[in-house]
Amino acid sequence: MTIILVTDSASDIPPELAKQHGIRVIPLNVMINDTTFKDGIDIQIDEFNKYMFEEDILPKTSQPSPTEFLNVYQEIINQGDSIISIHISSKVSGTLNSATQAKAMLGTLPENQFIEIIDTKLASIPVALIAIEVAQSLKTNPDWDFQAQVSVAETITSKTSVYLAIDTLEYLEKGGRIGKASALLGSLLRIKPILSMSDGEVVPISKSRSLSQSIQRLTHIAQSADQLHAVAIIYNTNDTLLDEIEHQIALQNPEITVIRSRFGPVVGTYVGPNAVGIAMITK
Amino acid sequence: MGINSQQIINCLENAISNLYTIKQTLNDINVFPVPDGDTGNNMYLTFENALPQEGFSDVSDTVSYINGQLLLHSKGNSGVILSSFLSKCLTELAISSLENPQTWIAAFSAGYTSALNSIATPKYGTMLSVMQEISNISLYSDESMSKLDDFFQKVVNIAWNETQNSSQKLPELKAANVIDSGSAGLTAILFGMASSFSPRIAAMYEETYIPWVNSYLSKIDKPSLMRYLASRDSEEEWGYCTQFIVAKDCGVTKTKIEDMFEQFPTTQSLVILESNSFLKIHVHSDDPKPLLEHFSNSFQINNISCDNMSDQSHSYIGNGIVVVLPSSDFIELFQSLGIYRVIIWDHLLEPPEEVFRSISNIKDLSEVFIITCSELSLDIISMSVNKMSNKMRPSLCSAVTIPEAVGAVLEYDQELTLSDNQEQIRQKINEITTTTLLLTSLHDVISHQLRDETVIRDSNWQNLMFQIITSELRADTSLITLYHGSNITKKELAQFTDRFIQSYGSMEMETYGTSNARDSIILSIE
Repeated sequence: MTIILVTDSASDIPPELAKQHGIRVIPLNVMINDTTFKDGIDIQIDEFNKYMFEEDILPKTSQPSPTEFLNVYQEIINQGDSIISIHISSKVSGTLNSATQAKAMLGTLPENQFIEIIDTKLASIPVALIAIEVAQSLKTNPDWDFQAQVSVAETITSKTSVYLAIDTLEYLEKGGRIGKASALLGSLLRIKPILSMSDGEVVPISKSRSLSQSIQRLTHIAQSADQLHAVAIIYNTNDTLLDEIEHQIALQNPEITVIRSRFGPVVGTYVGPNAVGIAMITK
Repeated sequence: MGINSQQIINCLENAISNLYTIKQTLNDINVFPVPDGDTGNNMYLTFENALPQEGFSDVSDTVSYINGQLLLHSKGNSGVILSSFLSKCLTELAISSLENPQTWIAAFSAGYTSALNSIATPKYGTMLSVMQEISNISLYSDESMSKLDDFFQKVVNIAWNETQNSSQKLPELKAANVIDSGSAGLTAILFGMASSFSPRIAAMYEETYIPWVNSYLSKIDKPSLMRYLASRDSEEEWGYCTQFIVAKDCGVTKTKIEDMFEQFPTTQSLVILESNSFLKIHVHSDDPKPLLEHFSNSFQINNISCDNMSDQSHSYIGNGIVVVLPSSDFIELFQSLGIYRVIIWDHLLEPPEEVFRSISNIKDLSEVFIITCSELSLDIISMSVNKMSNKMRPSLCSAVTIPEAVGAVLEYDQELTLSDNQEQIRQKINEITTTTLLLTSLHDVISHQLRDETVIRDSNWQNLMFQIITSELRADTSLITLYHGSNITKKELAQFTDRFIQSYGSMEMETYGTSNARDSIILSIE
């Protein structure tokens, strides 16, 4: 039995890595004015950012429909394979709900075929990092049964964290995804928070007055993490902001290949310009 | 399962789903009765497991099961009042046709009366007002009563309207410029129930109601709420949200419980729910221990829960920082940063009695981090606190200037110990360079002495400020902030900002103006 990994486009998985690891990516929907685009298929990030930052249009996002999941799940099940479906937090998107509904729509699966849907309680690049690590485990341990691979995915998920330095809370606020970071709203000074995700929600963990101070803190967080196993970094509009973080991580962890990615339209809707992030899996 | 059983379950499934979609927003806008950020969770948890996994053939069995679950799992003030309303509503609906609007109004009315009777001190401007309004038959025109679709449209409109009105009805909500989250949650439930009978209401919920409720995330004015809360007499501690159940087989009655609570006059938000077999008691109390002891000496009490609302509300209010400022010029700035309390005291003057009273009113100073804007005021406060009580051990930190105090506030981390905070804040303060440019001019010329003792002079403050920045700039500088008075014009600031961007494009700059005229501009370099 082969296990196929499925994730969603809000994982911000670089397309070449998804292809390399055979990970199926279900696109979320991005609505700009009255037009709906499939994230990463009909619209790419540069075009999206043009709408968002130059034309000042706030796009809306929505989860894939259960049918979109159903079509992919059905195809994989028809091939005789099983599925581990790894998704963004159910507290920030209905994507997991659509996946769960699709699984229910499939009814009873053929013998020895399984579908496991994992709520990572995270969003963006850490979800991709988890999917890539699970893909590595599938390759390294091809004889392990389905449940063992699900356990691996769950263990990796529990060891994964994400930190984002954002330039403005404006877009999280407009998109209604601000969670507990709403405590930082209303300040008469510009506050550049570092956000993380806890139990599926966006939480502020630190505050700075300038973006470069935030990025320094992000670097410090990565440097002080115990026994890093895998790291990914991500940016929205300015990739040079990642250089120092990548350099410092490489100095301290020369054995790790840092994955570099870019926020896609879905997460980009909320993090705004100049946002950078780091996802880490500890050993 | 009878048709009514299925209809009731469908109604409630939609209601649960609606609550789920906005529960986080309800948490975030939760202000009354305690801003502890849990109304959405409490309402959802009350509902979450209320529905039977397998249907009952008799509708009364279905309703009886749901009512039992609602009462048993009801949580928090909002959840308990909601379960009282819904239980009675469902009981009424179970014996009538769901297709008849009159049935629904009668059910709402019975639910409202039940909720009202369960609350010791009813407060309007809350979900109680929504219950009252949707029960008011005079608000329904004949036209709205002719078709179920129109009727439910009217129900949700009334509920929505009352939720909107809530922002003006309670002083806490008015101060925070926000709607009552319990009312918003109940309206979401009504939308869910109504959408079982009218698909257009489901669309209206998604497209209009959710964005409207979410819009309060950005409208909520937490600094204003904090100012209001700080102005009240008993503002500091919220106590414990305490719940327990007493089985009725010991002969206890609701009246008996109400009488027993007379011995605890400081308790608040008492709600007593009654089912056939048990009473559920919900109350807010500063000290639940004697209360629970008293009740457990009289009856067997079960399912006891005690949530510390003080902890919950503190995390909402921001943090445990008290800032002592030399003047009111920057008070709004610190309040906007979520400061627990700002005390104004010019340390060059004798501390007025209200400064000490303000500090001594903080019940547990061991939880408070006090930041002052001078060493002297720190020493005086420290001595005063020690005199007040040797048990009080607040953590103290001196920031000499306003930018340092801002830096200290932002550096404060609730997760760290007070001593670790002190250390981290000290480091942060060392990273901030502050210079004050006095605008006092002699023959229209302002002068300023740089750190190397060079005296610079110019008629234009901007020119002087640029020389100061050039002199103070470090390789790792990333942010320049100007704190100025209302006598600096917008035009001057715009000129300065443009010039700054041209000269130091890679650095960030921010200005903050107070509403008072000031004879100085404070420059902060970080």
